[in-house]
Amino acid sequence: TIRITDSDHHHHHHPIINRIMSSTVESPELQQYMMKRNQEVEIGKLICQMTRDCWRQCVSSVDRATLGRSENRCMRNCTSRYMNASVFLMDQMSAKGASQ
Amino acid sequence: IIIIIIMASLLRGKSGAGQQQQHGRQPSEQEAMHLRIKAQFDQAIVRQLLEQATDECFKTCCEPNGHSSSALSGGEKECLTRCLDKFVSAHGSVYQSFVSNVQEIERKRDKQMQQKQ
Repeated sequence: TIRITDSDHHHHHHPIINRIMSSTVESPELQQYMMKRNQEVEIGKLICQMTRDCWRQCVSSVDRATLGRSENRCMRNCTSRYMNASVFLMDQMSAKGASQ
Repeated sequence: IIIIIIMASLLRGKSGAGQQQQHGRQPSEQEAMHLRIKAQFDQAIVRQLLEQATDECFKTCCEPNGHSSSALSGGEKECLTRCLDKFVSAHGSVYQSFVSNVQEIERKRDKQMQQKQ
């Protein structure tokens, strides 16, 4: 799966993961499963954050319970642009690493 | 097997009131634990979504009116309800956009890889 921003993925912040990893986990199957779940949670959190940030830029009032057409377009564009910026910066950063 | 039983009981202790174990069809122990773990994670995401919706919607619906009373007015409650619906829709838009962007990005990556070869 793609990593959008390289967050601190070696430290497990989710309490469930910490709890289970601290008891002796011997099954590699389970560890792999937990890794996958953890990754999904990280992605879920990222999507929540993008929702909040783009909401602040795109939605000014809640006269209606649904998104207007331009609000919807704004939310989608905001999300795309954020992701493209993120990938762009990742490439820039790894280019810096390669040149040094 | 013993480790799985121990962890299953740990998770049972932590899980919310809504989690009922199926007594009909018996899933394998591992399947059952996977489901409980997944439910925990899903709950975590929903919790975060709610947290953010609460912040944004309080800002939009309650703050402008000042805090001269401790109660929520009827209008504020209606606003909060609309706002939550709208925020959840916004989340859906972001999710769909995220998925299509990931596909787009991976497509470009594949093309880049091929060009290098």
